[in-house]
Amino acid sequence: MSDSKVLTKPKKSRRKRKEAIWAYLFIAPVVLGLFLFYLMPALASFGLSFTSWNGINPPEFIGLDNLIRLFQTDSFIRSMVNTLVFTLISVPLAVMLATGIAILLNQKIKGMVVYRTLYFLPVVTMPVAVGMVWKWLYNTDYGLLNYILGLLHLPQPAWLFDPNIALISVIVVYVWMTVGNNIILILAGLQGISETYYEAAEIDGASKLKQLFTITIPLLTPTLFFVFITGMISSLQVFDLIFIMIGDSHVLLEPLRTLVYGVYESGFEYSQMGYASAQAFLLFLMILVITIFQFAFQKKWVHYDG
Amino acid sequence: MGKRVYTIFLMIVFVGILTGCGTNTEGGTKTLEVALWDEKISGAVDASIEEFNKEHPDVEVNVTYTPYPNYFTKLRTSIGGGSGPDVFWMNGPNFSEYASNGLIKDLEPFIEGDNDFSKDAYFDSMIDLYSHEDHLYAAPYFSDIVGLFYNKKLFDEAGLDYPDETWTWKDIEEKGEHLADQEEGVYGYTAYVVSNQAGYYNLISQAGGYMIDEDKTHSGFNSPEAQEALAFTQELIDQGISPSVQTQIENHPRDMFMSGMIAMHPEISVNAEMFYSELGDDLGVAPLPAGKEEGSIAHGIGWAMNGDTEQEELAWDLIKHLTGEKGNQFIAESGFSIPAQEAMSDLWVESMPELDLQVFIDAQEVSFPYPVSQNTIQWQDIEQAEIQGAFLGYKSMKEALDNVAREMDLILESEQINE
Repeated sequence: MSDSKVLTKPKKSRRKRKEAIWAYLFIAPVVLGLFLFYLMPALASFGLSFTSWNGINPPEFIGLDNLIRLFQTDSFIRSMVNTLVFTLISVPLAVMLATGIAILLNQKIKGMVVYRTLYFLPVVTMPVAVGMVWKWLYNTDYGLLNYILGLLHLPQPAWLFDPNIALISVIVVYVWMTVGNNIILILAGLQGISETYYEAAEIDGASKLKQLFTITIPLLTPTLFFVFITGMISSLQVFDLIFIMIGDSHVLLEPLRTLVYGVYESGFEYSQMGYASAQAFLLFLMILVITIFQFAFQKKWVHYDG
Repeated sequence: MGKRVYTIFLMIVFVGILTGCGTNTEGGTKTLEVALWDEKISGAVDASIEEFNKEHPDVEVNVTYTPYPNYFTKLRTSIGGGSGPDVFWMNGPNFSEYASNGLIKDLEPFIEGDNDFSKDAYFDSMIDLYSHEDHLYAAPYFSDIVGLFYNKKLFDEAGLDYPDETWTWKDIEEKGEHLADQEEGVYGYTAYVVSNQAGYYNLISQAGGYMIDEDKTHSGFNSPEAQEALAFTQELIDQGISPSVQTQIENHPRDMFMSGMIAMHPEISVNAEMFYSELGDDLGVAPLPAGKEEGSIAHGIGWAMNGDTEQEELAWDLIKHLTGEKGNQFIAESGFSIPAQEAMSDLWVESMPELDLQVFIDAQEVSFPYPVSQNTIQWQDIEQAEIQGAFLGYKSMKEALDNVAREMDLILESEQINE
């Protein structure tokens, strides 16, 4: 740094510094919260993943033993596969459904507010309540779903017991629960698209369908990208729904266990905090890699020139 | 200048947050924190605390009820964080882990210098359950043991005599078939799979087998006796005498029995009062029908003391009030379950004179121990997933039992190393 710069700066930098102090003061509560309740626990958990800590005795360093044990455990591999399958089915399904519904809801017809509210209701309902109600609907002997199927003389499957359909049954509930949130975001995206494009297309004689695929969808891609990323991150961490619907029965849980369920089970049921931390860390890595990959891939399909 | 203000501000916030987290006001009055899960017993607990407060008017006793599914998760987290209740409920599956890790106090030093407390007054099964290396770590509170509850109305309709002490597995099958009525949706018997304690643990023991050997080094789940017990269970389900395991998971047999959909239902004594208030005079109770051997699984709840409690004398005094003669009397009169002191059991039998509760007291004489090791919960989770999986047709029973035995032996082996 040259001397002249130091000499000419004081006045300006003093005011700036003062402003900076206020800025720091204002963001302090959030930053401190983030630091204390997110960053510190995350770092601690990373450190603990190399220890055998049972939550009580002092942690003992065991190197990579936790990770090695994880990859030798069938149930961990299964939970990783389950989580990936769950995400790969539920997220695209939820986004596609949401896009379709959002386009329909973007019309100017009567009672639109009612429809929008209806679609958003599941989002503001507690997952616990959602899980409980669907569990009753799915009940094999006395559930409403099978009662209706019985009236129609259709087969009445054991929705949560048949390992071939249990995952689908849970995905249906998850999609039902999350689609409303996606709809709101996509609606906002749709309304950001300027009318002029459609007017121009209309004059050029483009059909509605053509407009959808050449104007609406491409211009919606930034929103879709955002919905995809956040949807993936939250569905990779799915826990509450599974816990409520089948968490009390280990036999139903086995074929459906997810990564976060494994973290909960090891940490809080078996009190193997180190082992649980290692799983949490792997999950973090997985989410990180998938998200980086998505960002790298976005150049291929996301258009930011709106 | 600005930097200093900023730093000072940060420090104030930090200190504020840290002290805010760690506030532990120690006022003039002393408090004892008590934790348990079953609110149905609150009457008896409150009565004992009242007695305790007569001697210690300056001590405030706070009781917290946490529903069972979250009870041990919460307890462990709070104890791990250096706090946690001073006096709390303990059960069999969790006991060894808490005792061997020093999370709960060895009660022997207190018992030695105390003439008011004698281990001889309690059922042997309870003292055995809560002893770790021959030292008592939890004071027995009440016992729960398995008996056969039945619905008299369904027996009358089928024109059958009520079950008695002469019954065996054969009677379950024969009479159960009579009682079952598929069109009415009525089952004869619960071949209990969703509860191991009230279900197949008894059958395995009655067949002459065991779940865990005495040294706690080997699983007994792949033994011929265990296979026989579960094959019997399977048979009852296949014949439609018992609800299937899928039905059991979705609609708890306990609820089905209370709705009059099951004629005979093995269950722990703790449910006697609930069943009675639901079924009234239709409810009967008999000893569990015998296999090669007679008897049923005994378990019970004890009061343990936090290993880090700062008020151990007060805590011990409270435990004594809860588990002493008066405390036992309160439980007995509430009808909740068999008080842990043998001499007080008659009082409990009289609490519901219409029911032959003596069945449960006699059962103590021929009881089998509830199977425990240091990490009971871990192998029980595997056990239930595998065995229920076999019943649901995911795999053969032989394969499931072999899996349980193998995984359980691994867990038991690692317990030996850790010791």
